[in-house]
Amino acid sequence: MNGADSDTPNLSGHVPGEPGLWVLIFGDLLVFGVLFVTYAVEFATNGAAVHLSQIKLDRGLGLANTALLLTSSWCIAHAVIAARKGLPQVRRFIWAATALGVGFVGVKIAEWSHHIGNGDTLNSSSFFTFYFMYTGIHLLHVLIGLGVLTWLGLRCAPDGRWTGSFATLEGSAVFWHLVDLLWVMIFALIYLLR
Amino acid sequence: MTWYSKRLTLFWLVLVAISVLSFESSLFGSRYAAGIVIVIGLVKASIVGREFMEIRAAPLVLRLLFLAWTLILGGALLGVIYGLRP
Amino acid sequence: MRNGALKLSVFAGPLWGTLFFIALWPLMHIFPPYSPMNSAAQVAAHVREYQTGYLVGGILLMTASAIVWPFIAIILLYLRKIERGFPLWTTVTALVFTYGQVTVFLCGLAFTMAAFRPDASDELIRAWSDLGMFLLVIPAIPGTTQYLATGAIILQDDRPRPILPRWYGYLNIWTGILSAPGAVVGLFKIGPFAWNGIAAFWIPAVVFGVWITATQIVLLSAIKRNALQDNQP
Repeated sequence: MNGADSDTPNLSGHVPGEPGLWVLIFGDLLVFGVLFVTYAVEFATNGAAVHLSQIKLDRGLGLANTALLLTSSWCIAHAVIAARKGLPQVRRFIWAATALGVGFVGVKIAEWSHHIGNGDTLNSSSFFTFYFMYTGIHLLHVLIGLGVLTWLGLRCAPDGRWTGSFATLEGSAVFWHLVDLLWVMIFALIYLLR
Repeated sequence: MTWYSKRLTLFWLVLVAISVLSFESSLFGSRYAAGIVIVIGLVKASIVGREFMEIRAAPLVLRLLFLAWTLILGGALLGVIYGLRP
Repeated sequence: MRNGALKLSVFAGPLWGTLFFIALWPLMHIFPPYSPMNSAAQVAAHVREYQTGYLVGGILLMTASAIVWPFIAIILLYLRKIERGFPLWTTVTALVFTYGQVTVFLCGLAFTMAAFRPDASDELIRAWSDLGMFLLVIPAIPGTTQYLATGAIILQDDRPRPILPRWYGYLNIWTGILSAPGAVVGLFKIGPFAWNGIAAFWIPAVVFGVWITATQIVLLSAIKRNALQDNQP
């Protein structure tokens, strides 16, 4: 079979999740937009000091976390596809997405402990304030998302199918993709932008 | 796994590939490096939004709002970085 | 139940907001807040200059914390209506609301203390004024619990026509997440996360403004369609 693309045209004009959810999604995008521009101002006006702290970041760990969240997104998207097709793999994909999300948290904790161990903490420098606070606010999103994913996983039917509301499953997936999207931007701005 | 989405898998591969390939882009050393990093980040964010969040197939309002977010944020970031940097 | 009384209760919310704003802006001149970097002499001079404003503003803040209850009660009545069985999360919301208003009262009291004896030392005046600033911004911590609990209750509603609209549930979650950065102002004297910074003050302030406006609209429209008498299964 050629994959699931045959069902995409049916989605035309469909609001992913439910309309109300987009208040949260766009509200978050808007506020993170303001936060990103705030960082850009600091980067542009105080570049030399930012650079001194920024070179201490392990960009490889940032890249690893990007790959974890992108793959987690792929998994939850496939949980939604499996649910639309009535397949029993929904639960498996939800747990896979959850496990990858937990991996993200693990990498983040290792990264934070490394910096704190080196004496770079929340207010050691303006860059580390941005780093810890932005990744911290993002981590709050990750933890809320993991809570939602766990709840979804427990609500699957015993055979692993999704019998609950599609809007709930889809909406939760959209939130999880938002967490991914915000991380992609944080990775670009905080880790890669020199 | 005969039912997986080829399209999503392809975009996932593209995203991971861009992430790996753009890893050193900030070290290109030219004054355009910052711009390249930001544009690549926003392209990745748009792919996540359009393909994974399914904004691609959503009503026009959602598509326009998301496009506006991407363009305004991109404009603001590039404007700040190239406008304020000494 | 008389809808007139319910509608009147909703206006305790904007009245609370108005008293708050009058206290902070024209009376105490701390909107936008003074910088945490200011020296004791600078802060003490500010408090002495607006001494009467601080004292009257303190009274307004304490009054605000006392007259807001009809607004809170009506939110809770709707949440109680939505939540089936034991009203666990409604009770959580009610308790956190209560504790949040205690911080508003104490905030007014701290500003009163700062201005009560203008002949006190600069350091003492600044300490009380700083406490007032903390009590203004840091209660975002309990606020986050309250908004997330409210959002969870509204999104649990499985009635075909929800008692409160679902977008308002998501708005509460958004408000909860973005109030959280107010928690860290004790760590910073400068930058976006200081108590006059964009992330710890302006974003939570704007988000809160959106929340209280949306809450009034949602409550008034729910009263209009008699949602408390709703008998959907």
